[in-house]
Amino acid sequence: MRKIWMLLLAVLMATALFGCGEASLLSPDEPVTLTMWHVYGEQADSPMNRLIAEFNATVGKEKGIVVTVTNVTSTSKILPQLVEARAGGPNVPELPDLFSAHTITATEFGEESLLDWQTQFDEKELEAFVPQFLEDGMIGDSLAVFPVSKSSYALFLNGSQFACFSADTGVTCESLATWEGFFDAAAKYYVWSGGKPFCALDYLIRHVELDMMARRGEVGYTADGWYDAADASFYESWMKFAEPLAKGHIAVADQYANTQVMTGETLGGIGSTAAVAYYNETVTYPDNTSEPTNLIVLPLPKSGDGVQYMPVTGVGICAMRTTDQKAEAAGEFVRWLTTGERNLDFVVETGYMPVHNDAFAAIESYDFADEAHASLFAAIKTMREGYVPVVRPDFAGYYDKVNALYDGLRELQPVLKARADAGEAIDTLTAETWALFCSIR
Amino acid sequence: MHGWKAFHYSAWSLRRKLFGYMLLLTMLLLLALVGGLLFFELFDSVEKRTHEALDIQLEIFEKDVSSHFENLAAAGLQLSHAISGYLDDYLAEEEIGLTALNDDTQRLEQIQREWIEPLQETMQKENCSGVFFMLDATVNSGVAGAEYSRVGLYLQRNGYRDSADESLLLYRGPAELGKEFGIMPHRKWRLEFRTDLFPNYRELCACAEKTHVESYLLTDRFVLPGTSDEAVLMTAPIVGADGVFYGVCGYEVSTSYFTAYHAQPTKLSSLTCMVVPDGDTLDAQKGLFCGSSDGCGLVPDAQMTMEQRGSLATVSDGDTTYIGLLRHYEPTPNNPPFLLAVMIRQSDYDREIAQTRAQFLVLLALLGFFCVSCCLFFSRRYLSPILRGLEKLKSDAHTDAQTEIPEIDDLFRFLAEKDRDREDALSVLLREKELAQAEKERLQREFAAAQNQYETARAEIARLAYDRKNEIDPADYRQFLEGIDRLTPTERRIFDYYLSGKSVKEIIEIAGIKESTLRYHNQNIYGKLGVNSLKQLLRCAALMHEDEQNPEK
Repeated sequence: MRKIWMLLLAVLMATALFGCGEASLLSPDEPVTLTMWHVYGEQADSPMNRLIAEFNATVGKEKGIVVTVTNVTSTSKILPQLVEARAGGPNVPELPDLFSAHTITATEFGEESLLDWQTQFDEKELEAFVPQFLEDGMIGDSLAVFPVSKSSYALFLNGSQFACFSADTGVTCESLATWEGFFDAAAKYYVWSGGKPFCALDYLIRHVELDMMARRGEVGYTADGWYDAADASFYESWMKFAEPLAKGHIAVADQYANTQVMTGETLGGIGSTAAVAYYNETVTYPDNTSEPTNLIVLPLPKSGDGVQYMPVTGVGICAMRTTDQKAEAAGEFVRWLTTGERNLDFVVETGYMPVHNDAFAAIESYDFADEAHASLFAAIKTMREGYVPVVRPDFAGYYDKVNALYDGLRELQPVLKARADAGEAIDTLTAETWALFCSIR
Repeated sequence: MHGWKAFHYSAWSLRRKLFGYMLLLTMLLLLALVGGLLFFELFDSVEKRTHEALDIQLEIFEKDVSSHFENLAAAGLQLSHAISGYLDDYLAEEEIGLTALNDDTQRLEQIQREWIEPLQETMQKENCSGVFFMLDATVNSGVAGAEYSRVGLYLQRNGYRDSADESLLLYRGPAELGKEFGIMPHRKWRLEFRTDLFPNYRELCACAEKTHVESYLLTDRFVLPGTSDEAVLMTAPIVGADGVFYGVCGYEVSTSYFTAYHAQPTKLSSLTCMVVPDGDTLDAQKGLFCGSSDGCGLVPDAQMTMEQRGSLATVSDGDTTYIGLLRHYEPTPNNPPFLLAVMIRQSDYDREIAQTRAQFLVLLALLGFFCVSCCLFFSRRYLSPILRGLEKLKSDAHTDAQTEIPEIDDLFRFLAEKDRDREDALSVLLREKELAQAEKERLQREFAAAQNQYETARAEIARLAYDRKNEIDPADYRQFLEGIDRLTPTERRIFDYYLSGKSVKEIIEIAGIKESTLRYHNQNIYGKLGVNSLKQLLRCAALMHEDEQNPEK
């Protein structure tokens, strides 16, 4: 009897020892499901969804991973949605296993709830990624946001309309290489179009900031994480943009500049390079006439002749810290998603910059599907070669202030335009914009 | 039989026999338990259990889907009725027909402005991802493709339902009007609808001929132009009081909305629920689907074959096989029948069968092991004191022994008493033996003395016989011998009594005769033998006996 118990004990111990090995927790017979919220292709065609379908049908099937997209949203909405999901309630979806987020979003959500990707990727694997992008995803010692793609800003133009405008006014793409040329073109377009803004800007304040950096090399921030209004250089850069804004030559985008381009309200828009996926093929005017967009993408206008700066932004992927099996599955999915060639296809389609060194190298010889994408990546190439990349401000509450500023400007700009058209002094109008800026706390 | 003999049951030890009986008992109990559970169907088969679970899921799913589509159909008919009523009044007031609205931007915008808020309200009220109405008119009949272009409004939900961050988007309609009401244009916005891209537009126009309550239609699944989103529309024609076709209206249910809205609470793994047009195959690309509420569930995206196997249907896309239940469903009177399918992966089902079997076998093995262990333990535990008692019995040390078993203690006491009785009896016997020995010795001594006397007597008898022989006249003795043969049987008998040493008294008793009769016989015997007295007769008889003993004399 004793011998039987000893034998059983030995079998149990052996099982436990073998169980402690580093065997995979994944099994194709019992697939693990990862739910995902992402921001690629909201209200449009989603290359991410296609990639996920490909992953599920290939590597996912082989390893036992099913990725299910349960929400396609936007970077501005994902944090409140995550917070809402974490609080729970009727009709509120479950928290996803994977989600897209900026590092600041991940910080505000809580790094302690998130997987450290360094547990799923070894050092050698991480060396293949652009170090600056990896650095951007670190919260403390944890790689909480894995870089999948990075975007910058670019100038998008309705090519059909610009051709007419160019023919009539002599303004060319080269004219838009500097902000001075850009504002001059905007003034001409305002007259040419009968009072329409030339361009809508998604992120006006960032251009003010970049202009100041180009002129002075740095930007002063307050302890509250906002721009230092007492800084004369900042005021100068602000006024540079405030004047065309007050005159109605440019506009703060209603939401995204591409919607104003496709409705014919503006000729162009400055926004994320990722906006290329959202531009319609045609521009439709209120009388239902339309024309092909023939999208032209240009680098950001330069500020003076000094060092130029390009913003680098874009979300990465975060994984909720749940089970070891889900962590391994998330690692497999992200590894698959960011491998060189696939990362290249993905970023080209979505208008992002790759995060993988191999993909960056291969983009030079990529065969683009259309002129718009070729134009976009030519602009990105120009900026990568001639501009210094800078990450966006990462202060807590920064984007609340930014949104408050844009809401105020959106409300103010039609009034200012009307007053400018009525002949009111521009200095008075721009001073009102500065007052609005200073009111943001 | 030989095998049974080889079993040598009789040679089994007590412990082995007890273990054997206990094991047999537990196995019989186990068998009875399993039999009972099977008899009362407490061990359900996986197929039955799965069928029941899927049946419940299908009931719930059917109820969800039918009530959802019925509500949307009712809301669509109500919206159609309201818009047609408005247009009847508007056109009558303006004294124009519908065709007069073509190219009339002002009037068309007036109509759109009138309806944008009601659409917002109905959007919030109904479980849908979008709401629209499309009029049979265009703002510009001069543009290319104007014959397909139709004015209207199409609002879509932005974000998931009931989110605090939820907002609406303008998918079709004047962008400025949308902004005025806080509805931003969709990223793939267009000013007008296109009938050539509108799903089932012809069938919907044909529905306009039917009565109002029967005119609604669920469209095919289609890709929303400019996006990768897919949806179905619950539509109803807008028909004027005079039967003029004004346009269509309805509600959108996108595939993603359907998936989120109908996510089923379930314990089944990888649950996939589908509503697809009925046909020879189950075409997942034309249907709507949802999984479980935790977001799990595979999404087949192909034409799948169907086959009924037992109570469950097998559905396969050639790559993945599902098992499930199918049921017919008619969403509207104007749609061909649909199929509702509730399925799980075949691999999960097979795994559950294997797991159930393995669990059953492991349970049996554990119970068997438990039974054997218990039998071993208890038989050992039960028999140990008995065997110790037996050992004590063997060692004769049981007299004062105390065991844990009262019966054995009683036995020990009984055996001790028996021992004492036996010892008492033995001592009595020994004493009797000693007495008997003494008696024996005395008797031997007496016997030896008697033997001596006997020998002496014999010698005396011999001497006397010799003397008598010599005293008796040989002629008398001869007459005596001859006279014996002449004795009657009664006389002979009496003669023999005398020869055997019987006294007169004894002979009277034995023969049952009187003394006088004996005397009579004696006289006859004396006469025939030539003797005068009994004494002489006995002397001759002794001589005769002596002669018979020693014939050589």
